[in-house]
Amino acid sequence: MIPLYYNTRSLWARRLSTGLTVVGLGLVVFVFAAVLMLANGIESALASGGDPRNVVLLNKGSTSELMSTVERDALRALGSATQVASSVQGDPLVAGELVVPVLLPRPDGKESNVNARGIGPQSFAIRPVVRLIAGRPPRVGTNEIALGEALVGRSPGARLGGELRFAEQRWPVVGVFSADGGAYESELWVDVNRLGSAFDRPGLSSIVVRTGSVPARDAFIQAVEGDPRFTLEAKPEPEYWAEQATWLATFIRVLGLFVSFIFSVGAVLGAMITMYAQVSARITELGMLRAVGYRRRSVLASILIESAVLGAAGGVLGALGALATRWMEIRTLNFQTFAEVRFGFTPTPGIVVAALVFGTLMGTLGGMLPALRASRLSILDALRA
Amino acid sequence: MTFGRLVWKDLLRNPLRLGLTVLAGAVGVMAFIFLRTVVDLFYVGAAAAQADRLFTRSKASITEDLPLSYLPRIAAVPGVSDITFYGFFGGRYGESQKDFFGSAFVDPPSFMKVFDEVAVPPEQVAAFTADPCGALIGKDLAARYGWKVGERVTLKGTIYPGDWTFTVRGIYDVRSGGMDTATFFFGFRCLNEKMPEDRKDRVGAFMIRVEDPSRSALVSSTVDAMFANSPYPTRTESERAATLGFISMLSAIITAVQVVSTVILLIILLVIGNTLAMSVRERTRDLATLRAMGFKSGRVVMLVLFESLVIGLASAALGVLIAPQLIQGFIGAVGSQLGGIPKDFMRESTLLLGALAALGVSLLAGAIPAMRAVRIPVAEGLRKVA
Repeated sequence: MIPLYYNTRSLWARRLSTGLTVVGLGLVVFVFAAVLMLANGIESALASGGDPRNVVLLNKGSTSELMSTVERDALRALGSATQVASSVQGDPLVAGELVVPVLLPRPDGKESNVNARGIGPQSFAIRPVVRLIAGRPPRVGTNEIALGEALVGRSPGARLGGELRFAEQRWPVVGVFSADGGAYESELWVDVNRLGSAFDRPGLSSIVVRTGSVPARDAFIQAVEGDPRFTLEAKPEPEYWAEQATWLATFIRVLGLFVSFIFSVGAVLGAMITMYAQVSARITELGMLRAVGYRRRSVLASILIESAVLGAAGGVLGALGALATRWMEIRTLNFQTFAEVRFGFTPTPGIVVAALVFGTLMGTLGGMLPALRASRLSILDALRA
Repeated sequence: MTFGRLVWKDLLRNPLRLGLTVLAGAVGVMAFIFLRTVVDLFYVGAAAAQADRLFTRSKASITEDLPLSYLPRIAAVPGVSDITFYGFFGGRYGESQKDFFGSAFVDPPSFMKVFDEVAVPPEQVAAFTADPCGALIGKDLAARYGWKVGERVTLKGTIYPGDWTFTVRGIYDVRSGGMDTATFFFGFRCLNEKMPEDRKDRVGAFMIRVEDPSRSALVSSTVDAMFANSPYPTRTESERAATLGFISMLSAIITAVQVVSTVILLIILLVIGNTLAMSVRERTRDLATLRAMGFKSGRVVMLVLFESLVIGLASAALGVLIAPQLIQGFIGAVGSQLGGIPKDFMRESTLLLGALAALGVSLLAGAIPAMRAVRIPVAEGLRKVA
């Protein structure tokens, strides 16, 4: 084997073109990793709102709360199920909720769609992940609002003590809540009956139930789906929210991976150019190596290793760049929920490893042909060049 | 030897490298054009939106209905020439996400009048109007499921519970504009008859055609003022403004795509710059010889810049040739999942922009090696062994 030192030295000897290639590869890896982190960010932002013990019930056939209409009668019947957990006061943890997207003005003069969630008395208790970080919960029978943390400052009056206007009514903000980065943080919560009357909606969008445990949850889902009284579809809350993320996450993934693929072709060509140049500039050297007894396959391996190092360096650079986007925050409309969501670039170890592998692979691919060329040189020709 | 021949000889000094560089450049141009087209796709609806068409929906929320009784009152507003309505149905054909497509109820005769870009054979229009549960489907949707006129299709209602069976009475194409050809329209009567009392005669939005587009703003404000104090206040906008409002909510995605297309330009810059830097370094002696022979520095810089220009041109040409095919392939593969792609989505201006960007970037990439070539003193350059 030709020592690795030789390769690293020769990469260093041509700092400029090595650097340019590494940056080029790095940019490709950056886009690749950033896309995966973004898609992951959407999924985890929406899914983290779900509690495994909770069940969301929608009208059969509906895919989201936005499209679903549930009769109020089902609320009482569901509350009496044995699997349902009770609050400290002994009330069943069941809430009928209504989701209505409302348009709020943004400070930049544009508007965004925000989901207003009409909540029942148990809605906060059902979701321990939702915690008030300021103020108090809205009182039943009033227009008071608890604001998701992501909405603070997103609209004039969207702050504790402020006031929002929609549906021709005033809605004072009395509390701000967080939800571990979940989708609820992009919602505003208000008494379900007040919201229903403001929008002339007698029905509900969904019913949320907290069960005693995960096995109890499964039993509950089975019981509801087998019960002819209901035309309801029951889903664990995390599963419901994960489904709400599919469209947007798929869109970003498909687009991003397609672009990364095209990019990587360009970057492989770039690496190939560099490696061909490295080989042709070192023909005499390589001939010398062969003359002193190194085999063809050692030369092949040496050049391949060199280009793999090049690619790995690009991978490291790109992955580091992608990790640096963690502080960035993106808000956009989720087509499925028709409301704004806030999410970030969420790295996982898997994504970082994939980025490094991707970079190394691109480098290796780019080095393949130049390495073959180097190994095929005849000793005599190489020494004479 | 003429100047052009000199550039040519220098380029062909390493044909393999030249080929790889042009290929890499073309890939970049392709990716750039592809992403710009994706951005265009978002705006295509807005760009093609008719100036004389207004869109009236509930002011409170997009999911809120409006009573059908508003129709005659809006129609009576001076300046309104035609009016129709529609409602989002959101039915599902199959269980999978892929089987989702846009579905809406419309009032056939007035719909055909207000949306005159929708092209349907006259006998199909008559059949669609006559059948209360008739459906008019886009040609892409028809092609996707192999549906023919006369076929019965059952959708599962989500907002409107139950199974709904329609008979395909017509297949439409779109003459121009931003409307897609993958939507399922059906008659309002079919739905309304089966609705309970409290949901009867409710529609999603009204579409108004005005006589004089310059008076759209006045018509809008008259309509909105009329319902301001009713239980269902309205908001009327031009189709264009409504679409742009929707796009602004997606601005983060669009910005991200734009950032990535800038990154592509950077990558092309690096690849072409790298090649030129290598080729100039290898030719330090040749270039010094030229200068020793009396070539002015400017001439040498021109020589290198010309090379990069040729590389840029070749990349641009190749990229512009291949990009449309690539985009067609992409649309063919995922278009149906994106909910229908409007007809005129590929723009010449985007191709031109891609080509110009490639030229600009390649000149920029050539600048630094060119400067390096003339900075080195002639004597040192002659001594240098690459």
